[in-house]
Amino acid sequence: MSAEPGSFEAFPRAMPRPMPIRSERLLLLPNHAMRARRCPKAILALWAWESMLGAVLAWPFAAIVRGAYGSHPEGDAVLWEPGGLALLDLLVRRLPAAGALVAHAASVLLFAVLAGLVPLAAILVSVGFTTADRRPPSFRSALQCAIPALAPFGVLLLTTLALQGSLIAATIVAASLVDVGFERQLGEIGAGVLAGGVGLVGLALVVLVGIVQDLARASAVRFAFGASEALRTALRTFAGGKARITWSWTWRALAASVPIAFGILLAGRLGGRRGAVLYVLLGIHQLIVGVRAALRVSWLSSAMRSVDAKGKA
Amino acid sequence: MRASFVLAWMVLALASTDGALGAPMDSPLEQDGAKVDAPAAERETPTLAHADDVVDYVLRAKLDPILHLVHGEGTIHFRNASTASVHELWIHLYLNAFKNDRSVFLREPIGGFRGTAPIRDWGTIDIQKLTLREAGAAPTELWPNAEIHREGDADETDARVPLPHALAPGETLDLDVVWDDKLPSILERTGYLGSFHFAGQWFPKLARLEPSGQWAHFPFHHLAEFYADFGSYDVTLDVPSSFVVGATGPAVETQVKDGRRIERHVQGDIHDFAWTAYDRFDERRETVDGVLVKVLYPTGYGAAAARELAAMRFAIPHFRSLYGPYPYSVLTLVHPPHGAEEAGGMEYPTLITTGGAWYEPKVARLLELVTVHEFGHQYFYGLIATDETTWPFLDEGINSYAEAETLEAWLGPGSAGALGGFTLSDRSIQSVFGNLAEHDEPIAQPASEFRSGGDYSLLVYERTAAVLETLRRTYGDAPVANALRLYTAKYRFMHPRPDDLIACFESEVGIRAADALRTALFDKGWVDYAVTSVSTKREEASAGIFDDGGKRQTLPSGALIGSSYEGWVLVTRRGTLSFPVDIELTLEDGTTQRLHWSGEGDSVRLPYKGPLDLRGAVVDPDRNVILDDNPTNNHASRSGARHAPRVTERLAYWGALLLQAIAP
Repeated sequence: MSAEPGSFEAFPRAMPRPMPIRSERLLLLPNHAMRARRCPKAILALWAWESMLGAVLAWPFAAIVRGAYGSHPEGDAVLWEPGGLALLDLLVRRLPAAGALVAHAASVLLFAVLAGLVPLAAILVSVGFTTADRRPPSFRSALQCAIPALAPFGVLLLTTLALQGSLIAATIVAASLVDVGFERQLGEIGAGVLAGGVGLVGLALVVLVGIVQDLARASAVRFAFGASEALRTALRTFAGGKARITWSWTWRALAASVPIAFGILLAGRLGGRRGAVLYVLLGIHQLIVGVRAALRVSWLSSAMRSVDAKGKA
Repeated sequence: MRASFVLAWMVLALASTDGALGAPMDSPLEQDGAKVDAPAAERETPTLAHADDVVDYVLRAKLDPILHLVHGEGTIHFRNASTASVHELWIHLYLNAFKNDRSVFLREPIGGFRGTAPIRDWGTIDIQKLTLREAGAAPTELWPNAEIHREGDADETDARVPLPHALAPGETLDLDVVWDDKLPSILERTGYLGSFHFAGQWFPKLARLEPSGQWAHFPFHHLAEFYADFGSYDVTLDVPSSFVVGATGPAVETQVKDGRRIERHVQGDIHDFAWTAYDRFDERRETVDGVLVKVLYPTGYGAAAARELAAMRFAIPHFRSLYGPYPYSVLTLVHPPHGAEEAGGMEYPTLITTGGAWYEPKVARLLELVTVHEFGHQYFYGLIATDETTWPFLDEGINSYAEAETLEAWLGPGSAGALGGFTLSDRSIQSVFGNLAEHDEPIAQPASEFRSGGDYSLLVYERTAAVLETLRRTYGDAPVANALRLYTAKYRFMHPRPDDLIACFESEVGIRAADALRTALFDKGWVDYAVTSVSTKREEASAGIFDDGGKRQTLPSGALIGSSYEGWVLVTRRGTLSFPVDIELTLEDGTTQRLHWSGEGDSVRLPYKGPLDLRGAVVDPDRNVILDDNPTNNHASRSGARHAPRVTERLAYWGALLLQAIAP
């Protein structure tokens, strides 16, 4: 378990007990090497995971559309006709058992939130560690290393959701009180703007909680910490670099929204009703999902570097 | 060449088919009974320049904005314009709908629509004096003998006032009236919220006297609106000087004295009067098409006011071109403040109320929709003064059609909203939502007969508009525009009934269209066209056992002759309505051919023969029959295959993005 001087440390540096790694021995990367670009396969895997779940989420809805307009000579292109008559009719009158569809969507989302912890932990392993011959960890060993992190990840997820939920509720209440309480003094619009400001502050707090959660997840993998220790490390890390870490998340979040806007514009231009254009659009859309997945991995790498630096300090 | 061949063959086949197809298809409009010329536009339709002046009000009202009281005094001049003597008066006291929970309005078990919020502060109207003045006779106090409510019924919105002697046809009477209003917390178009006051149905108002001598009087029903005789209103409003006033008709005198603002509004040729007073109104004015348009809006709602003015810039000349000129010099738009939405979306002569948030996004055109709709009521209720209580579709339904027509002419297919390459038209909303209640109740029935506010709004507003739009799309713009032009010209300043509307359609569009209109309005008419099956195969020689000249011959099946395809398309119609429709056949190479079916009969089987196989068929491909109950069976493919690649791709993509936003 001795570190290779000046380059790699044995995995994991501060681990209290050995991780169950059967396939290969992983070493901790030096801080500067914890980069998303080192693990394109992890990005691809995340893209595949998200695209697969997206398709599962969409399938029942798409099946209803196939049943309704699949035999039309124009196909489902009629749903894009100006005026939206067919689309509105479909949404209002042809969605049988809408409750079942909602239940399906909720189930897929719940599954994605819970099962998504596994690829998330595996990605963090991939960005933080390497094999003895300095290759990114294999899919199998990344998953194996991810498993011990799931318990703290679960606790962190529940804690974060509870905190974020409370923040959202408190924000709604505070914004409503401000809206009503200041209407006399500031007028309806002034009070509305002030309430909107309260809402933005609440939203920012929710985002910050999410950022701290990602830092805690990174420390749980980096140091094999339990949830509480990981959270303490995350808070110390965040306190030591609030602006840098927040900006690191923010620019990636902003950058991740650009491809969506681009995709909307392009879809509007191309149409993509059928044939080659549809395949082109499919490729572009999947590229957008992939770019966003890459930015997510990039942020997780940044979080890993931050907790690693703080841990060393 | 190929397409012409197929078409020629099919026309031939259709012409020789018995039953539903009937006559040759080369002159479909004649066959459908529609008139394709534009007679009403060219004929001189007698139009009244002014209303028959039956009842004149000279009123004075003083507002106490702290206690939300209005003290009123004035005179009512009434002429018996009927053919029978009148022995009593009926006076509507509609503020009493909010007096207690035993009023008809509050006890009717109607959910949905509007007016369902709980009352925080009750409202009343109390007549103090109602005095009959006659030349050469002492004044007679009428109110002590008035029957304010019926026996066993606590509702006090519809009062009967016996006259000391009959009023013969053509005779007049004058009444002095003194009354007090307590405005309710804002509810169902009237009341107060803080310092915002909106006074609708705020004065003792005579019911309408029908030509037969019968009074068209009603308690204030939950879903009903109003009906009255035309006349002139001369109303002086007295409010605190810090308040801005909006009212029916132009302000002919304004003075500020002793801390009070006193405005006198005078307007003829109308049948109601409403007003508002608020100390936080801003104002914009603009002359549009010769009409002074005044927008009163809460401070900070400038963007909303600008959009409402823009809507009027288009709507006023557009309505003039279709339904005749707006005959008044002013139009006041009132945008109620936040919390007073119940006062919004309402019409009175020369004054309408709009509504919406100050940040109302432009992707949804709700603000424009409400504004154009309420302006449309200046015609369909204001000028064509139908009985809104008995026949609500005559104002709300026709006006909803006019609203959608105007918005589409102005904003195109995104007349209700547009986002990310999708557009939503007002007409689509009317079609889809109108169809929701098609089997529930008839459209043409009194407002009080509707089982729920949901049925009322879906049928009276949406489905009526969808019926008219279906007629326009199937019989053409010009005939339907002519029918409505004739209706609005002939019945301006009058009180038409459903038969009058249907007669205009019969005259301008044809008897079949008029029958469809009547069935749709009165008999829950509905329709569902469907392509039931598409079947083709390669053209084969005859097969089987044939006896020919004493010789028996067995011909094998499956022997191809030539390279043609033959088969048929079966199109069916269910329901009690029928409209002429197109049927579009799509061939294997993507080319299409259209045929016209009168739409009568239960079904039509279209034989097909041509060099290319059929891919599928669509009945009513342009969605002209927006009343169609189920548009998803309007098409079928020969193979039965079903694909939705675009939707599948888009949904999977957006699903992945959603998961990226939510999942860890």
